Amino acid sequence: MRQQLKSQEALKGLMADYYRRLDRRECPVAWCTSVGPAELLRALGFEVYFPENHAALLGARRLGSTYVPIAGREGFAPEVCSYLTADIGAYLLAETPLTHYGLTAVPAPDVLVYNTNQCREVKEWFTWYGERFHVPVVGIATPRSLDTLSPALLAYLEASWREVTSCLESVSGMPLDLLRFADTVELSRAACGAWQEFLESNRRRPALHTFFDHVILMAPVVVLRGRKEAVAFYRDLVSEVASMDTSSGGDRYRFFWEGMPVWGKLRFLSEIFDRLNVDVVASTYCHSWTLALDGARALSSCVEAYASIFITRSQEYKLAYLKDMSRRFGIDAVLFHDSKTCPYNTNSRFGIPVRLETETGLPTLIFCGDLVDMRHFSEAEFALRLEAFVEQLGEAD
Amino acid sequence: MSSLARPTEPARACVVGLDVGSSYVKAVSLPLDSGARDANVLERHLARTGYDYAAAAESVLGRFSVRPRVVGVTGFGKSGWHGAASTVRRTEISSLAKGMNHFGFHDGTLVDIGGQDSKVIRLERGRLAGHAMNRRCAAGTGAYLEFIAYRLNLDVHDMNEIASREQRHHPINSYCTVFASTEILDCVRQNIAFPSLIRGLYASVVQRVREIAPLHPPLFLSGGVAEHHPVLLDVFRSLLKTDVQAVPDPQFLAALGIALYAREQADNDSIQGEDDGRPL
Repeated sequence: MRQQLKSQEALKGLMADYYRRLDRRECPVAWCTSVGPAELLRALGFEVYFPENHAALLGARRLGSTYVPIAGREGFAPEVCSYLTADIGAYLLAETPLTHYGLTAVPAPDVLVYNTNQCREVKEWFTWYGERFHVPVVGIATPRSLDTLSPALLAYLEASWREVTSCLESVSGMPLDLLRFADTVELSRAACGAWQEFLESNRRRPALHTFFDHVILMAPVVVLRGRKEAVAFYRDLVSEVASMDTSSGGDRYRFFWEGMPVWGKLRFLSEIFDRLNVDVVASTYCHSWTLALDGARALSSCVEAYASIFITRSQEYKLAYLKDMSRRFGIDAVLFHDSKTCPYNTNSRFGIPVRLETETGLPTLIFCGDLVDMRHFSEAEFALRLEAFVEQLGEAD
Repeated sequence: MSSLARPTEPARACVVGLDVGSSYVKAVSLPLDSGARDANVLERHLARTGYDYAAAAESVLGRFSVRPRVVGVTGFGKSGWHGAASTVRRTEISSLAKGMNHFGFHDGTLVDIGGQDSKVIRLERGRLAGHAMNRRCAAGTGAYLEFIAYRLNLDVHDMNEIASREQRHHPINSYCTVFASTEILDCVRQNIAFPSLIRGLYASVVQRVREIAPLHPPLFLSGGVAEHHPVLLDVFRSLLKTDVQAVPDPQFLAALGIALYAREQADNDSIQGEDDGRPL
């Protein structure tokens, strides 16, 4: 049995403080996409709320199949991102798991800010809420499938960031303080750096933590980027891991997870991997928040970092990235989650698994599921596929 | 290559392989005595799984005339049955690969079409080299044919004969099983030959399998659909333009494979000896 990280306990208090601060509304509230310009918003004095975090909570509580159909009333098809449909469905029923923290509803926005670096759905999602709350919706339209970030692309994106900044200054009623922005970016850099250091600690054998710890522990790097609490949390986490006993753990398979988490099945998945002697040691998903920011060039580093995340990149880039990660983490096999409602963060549909197997010899397994809508995930089917895959690896040993 | 013949032999020390599938429980016994390693299956039994798959497994096991030394369990219900002290459990994918090796098929692709799964299994030099399955939906499996037979008021076993009357198939386009049966009714109203429509159902099964994974030759078929619908081989051959052969006793391949694992387990445990010969 793996040691329980003490930081998991600290996380509960940190997240409770975050949600309660949002509820107090001491500052204007901006809604932001999870890989959106949080530093800009915090430097302009907004409290920042992340609907994707809320949707993941709905997923983890297995409420997706309850709320997704409700969004159909507003014309959202069930094939659309289940973060979007679950979140809007819950809103239409005036329900939220944030009641656990004393909130009666999600905090109403003064502005909504998106970045399409993840997908186009975030724009539609935020626009729907903007109409409901009669508040502005602004965003950065980042292209995807990028091989490189050309000077022309970066110039276009920087201009978009400046336009968004102007809009936000109007909403907040104050100009952007560049020193405060630089300090905020620096805090984000430190949090992302410590998060990365924590994730990279799993390059050691045996693994001290798994993907199923990561998807819980990642919450601060998503919702508290640009705040000192996140930096302190991850520095403590890194220290805790450095002091852990690494002498036991046995010889276990090391898998890499590509794609979205299956939020409603984290316990099931964690237990079945453990039973089959497999550690899921790293993922593209959790590494997406290892943003290369730099307070000394705050705006340009934000522009580059948010445009260069894994999801925005080309097939060639993604394949090279997976090869590199597999080598660095000593991976035995790569799992690809084909997420029914998340085509942009599903990377098994254009040949990457076949190429990875052919070019590296790494076995791959594609499984079907979804991030929130558990009607698309079968425990029995997954168990059969995974057990057979592990048996297959055993034959090859 | 040994064959998987019908039960003929008297009671002998044995192991049993149970394949607890979504539609049927299949079971075979293999002899344990050292002089008969390549001998035939001693007994085989089959029963509907129903809703209580543990009871179905127990019932099938009770039909064997000799108490098995070890029981191997595979299939969808393998984790839920705990009826024997000495049990070995493997997935049906590994069990199918094991069965293939028993028949001397060490390379190629096995397509196993069962009640709710279609599996594509790749073998290289006798090793399980990869597998894939139908995604998200069981259309294109045995349940697909059973449901459409029900909707058309046919005996599912008659479908094979009807489809065999026609060499060409009329394509059935609907991805959904329910809509496929409605599509057939529409086609009947348009006076399209019924046998070509039924053959079209088999073509639809083949097209679904093609989508799962590349089918590198040599190509083999197993599972209940291959056993009871041999016309499927013709349809595979005509659509894929390649030879396809059914393995011996295709519905029992996974049961045979897990029985072979059980026999290895019995050997490892060194528990071979005189059987008490008592009926179960």
